Amino acid sequence: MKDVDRTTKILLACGVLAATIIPLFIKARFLQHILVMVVLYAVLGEAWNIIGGYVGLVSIGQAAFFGVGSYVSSYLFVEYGVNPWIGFIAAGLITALFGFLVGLPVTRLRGRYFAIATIALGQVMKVLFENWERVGAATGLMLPLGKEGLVNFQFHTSKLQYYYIGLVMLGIIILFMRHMEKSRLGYYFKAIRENEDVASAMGINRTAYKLIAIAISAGITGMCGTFLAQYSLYVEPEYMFNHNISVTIALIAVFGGTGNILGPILGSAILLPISELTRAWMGSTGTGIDMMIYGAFIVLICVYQPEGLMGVVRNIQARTKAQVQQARRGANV
Amino acid sequence: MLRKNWLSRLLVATALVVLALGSTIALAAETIKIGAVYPLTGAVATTGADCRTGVELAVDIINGVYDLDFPFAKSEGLPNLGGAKIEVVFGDTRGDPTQGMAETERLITEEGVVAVIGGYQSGVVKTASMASERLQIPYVLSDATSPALTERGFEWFFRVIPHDGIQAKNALEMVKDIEAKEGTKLSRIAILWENTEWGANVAKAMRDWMDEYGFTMVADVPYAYRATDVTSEVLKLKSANPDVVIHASYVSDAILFTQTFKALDFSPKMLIGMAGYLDPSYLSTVGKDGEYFFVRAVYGLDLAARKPIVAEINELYKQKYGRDMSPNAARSFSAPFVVADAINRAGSADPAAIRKALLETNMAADDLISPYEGVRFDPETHDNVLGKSLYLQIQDGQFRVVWPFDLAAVPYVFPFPGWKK
Repeated sequence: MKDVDRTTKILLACGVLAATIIPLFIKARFLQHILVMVVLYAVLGEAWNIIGGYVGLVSIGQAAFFGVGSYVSSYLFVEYGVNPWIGFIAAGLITALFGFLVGLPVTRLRGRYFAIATIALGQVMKVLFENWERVGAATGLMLPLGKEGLVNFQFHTSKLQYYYIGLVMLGIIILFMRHMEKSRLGYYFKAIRENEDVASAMGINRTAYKLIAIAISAGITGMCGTFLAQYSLYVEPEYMFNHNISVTIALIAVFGGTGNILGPILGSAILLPISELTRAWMGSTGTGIDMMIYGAFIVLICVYQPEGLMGVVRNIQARTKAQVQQARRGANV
Repeated sequence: MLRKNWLSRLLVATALVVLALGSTIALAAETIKIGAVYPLTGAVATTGADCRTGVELAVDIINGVYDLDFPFAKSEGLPNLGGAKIEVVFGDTRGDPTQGMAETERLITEEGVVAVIGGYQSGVVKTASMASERLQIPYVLSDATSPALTERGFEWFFRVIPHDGIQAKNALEMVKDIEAKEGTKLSRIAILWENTEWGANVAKAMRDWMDEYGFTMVADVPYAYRATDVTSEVLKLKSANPDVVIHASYVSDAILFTQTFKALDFSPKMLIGMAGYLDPSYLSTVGKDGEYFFVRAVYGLDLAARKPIVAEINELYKQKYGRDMSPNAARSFSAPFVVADAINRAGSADPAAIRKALLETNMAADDLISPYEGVRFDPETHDNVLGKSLYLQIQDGQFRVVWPFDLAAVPYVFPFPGWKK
C-alpha cells in the first residue's frame, strides 16, 4: 500500500514538473494556445467540481459566472482604465457575490431542477447583457491593445505567459481543494452530496454550505472570465455567455471524473487537445468530421467508463495492486 | 513498477498523437501562402463553404492562365515574383471568436501565411484580426461589414466591402426612391436583427440614418440567430404594423423568419433582407416563399449587363461548382485579388512590404466583379473609400438587381403581393 502511494507521489511530482518545464520548449503558437485552453478549462472544471463533484449540485450554467467576471474587469478597464489585475480580483469578488445572490433561490432546488435552473440562468444573463447598452449590448467591449507585460495582463509575442498565469491559478485551486477535502467544509459538502436530509438532520446548515460552495465556484469561474477576456481582448455576450462554455465545463469535469481533484485536470488535458487538434487537422474540409471524432470519443468513454477517466485510472490501480499482491503471495510460497 | 509501465505507455502514446496531429508538413517555398478563415462547421457552415468557393476560384484565376480581361488572369501566378503561385490555407472558425483567433494564429505561425482573408462573421473577425494585428500580418476583409471593425485604428487590417453605416444608408435611400416613384408613403419602418456584433451594428446604423431621412421606427426587435422559434418576434412585428421591415440575419434565421412570416400571414409592403438571404440554401429551402424579398448585396449576376466580365467569371464558377456564383461567394472572391495585387506590387512576400503596398492600392472598377468604383483604402481607417452596395429582389427564383435604378436589370415589384400570390 505504502509503495503505491509513493509512486503516485512521484508521478504527480513528475506531472507538475512536466507541466512547468515542457511548455518552455513549445514555440508553436497554436500548441501554446492549446496549453492555455487546457489550463483555463482545468481551472473551470475544478470550480465546477466544487459544486458539482463535492456538493452534488450539477450546474450547466457556469457561463453566467464566466461572462459576468469577464465583463466586470473589461468594463472597469475600458471605462475607468482600472488595471486588469484589480479587475481580476474584482471579478472574483463580484461574481462570488452574484453567485451567492443567485444561489439564494436556486439552491432550494434539487437534482435535475437545479440543473435546469442553471441552464436558464446562463441564458437569462446572456439576454440581459445583449440588451444592456451601458456595457455595449450585443456589440460587446473591445479591450484596447496595450503594451505587453505582466502589469497590463496582455501578452502579444508569446502565449506562454498566459499559460503560466493559468497554471498558477490551477496550482492555487488545487492547494485550496486539497485543504478543503480534509477540512470540515469538505466533509460537510460530501455529506450534503450523499444525503441532504441526513446531513441536515445531523446539524449541517445545508443552505449555508450550498451557498458557500456556489459562491466559491462562481468567484473562481468569474476570474477565469477575466482571464479569457484578457486573452482575446474582446467580450461579447454571444461569446462570453455562450451555452457551449457551460456544457464544455460540465463535460470536462464529468468526463474526467467528479468528486476528486485530478478528474477535471485529466478531462481538460485530454478533451481539449482532441477538440483543437481534430479541428486544425480536419476542420478545413468543412465536413464536420472533426466534431464527429470528438463526439464519438466522448460517447465511447461514457459507455465503457461511466465514472469518467478517473474510473479508468482507478481500475488500473486496482488491477496492479491485485497483481502486486499476487506476486507477493507467489514469492511467499 | 508495473504501474509505471502503463503510464509511460500512455505518455508515449499521447505524445505521438500530439506530434502526429500537430506537426505541419513543410512545403517548398515557391508558393506564397495566404490564410483564409471561415465558419466551415456550425450554424453558418453553408455560408462558410459558399465563401470558400469564391476564394478558390479567385486563386485558380490568379495561378492559372485564363483568357479573361481581368487582373492576373492571362499570366501564370504573380508576374513580378517570377510567376509565384498563391496557395490558400483554410481554417475553420466554427463561428466562434476564440476559435477564430486560434485558427488565424495557427495559420500565421504554423502554416506561415503572409496575409489573412475571410472571417464572414463580424464578431469572429474582431478576434481574428486582433490575432493578425498582434503578429503583424496583413488582414484583408471582403465579407464582414460591422463598422466597429475599422474603428479600432488597426495598422494591419483592411476592408474592401462597404460597412453597415453605408449599406444602411443605401437601404433607406432605396426606400425613399421607391416612395418617390410610387407616390406612396412608407414612413413606418421596423428593424429586425440577430443580436450579435453584426446585427447590433446594422440596427445602430439604421437608427442613426432613420432620423436623418425622417422615417419612424415602429419596432426594434432583436433575436438570437440560433433561435428555433420566432413566433413571438413576428407577432411583435405584426402588431407594430410597419410598412417596411429591414432584417439583418444569417441564413438559418432568415429561413425560419420567412416561414414564420408566412405561417402568421405577415405581409408588410416591403421586406428587406441581408446576408443570410443570399445564401444558396436560403432559396433552395424556402423556394417560392422567398419571392419579392429585397436583399442587400454587393454583387448580382445582372451586373453582367454593364460588366461583361461578371458573366465570364460566373461561367467559370459554374463549370467548377455547377451553380451560379452567389453574392456571398462573390464577396469573398475580391479579397484574394486585393492581396495578390499588393504582393505583386510589393514584389515580395514580406508582410511589412505587403502592408505598405496595400496602403497604396488603387484598383479600377473593371478589376472587380462588385459594383464598387474601385479599391482604394482610407489612410486612417483602411476602409475602401470606393465601396458601394446594391439591392437585389428575388424574382422567379433569381436575384435581380433592382436598385440603384441606373444599375437595375429589371423593374422592382412593389408592394409585396402577400403570401397567397
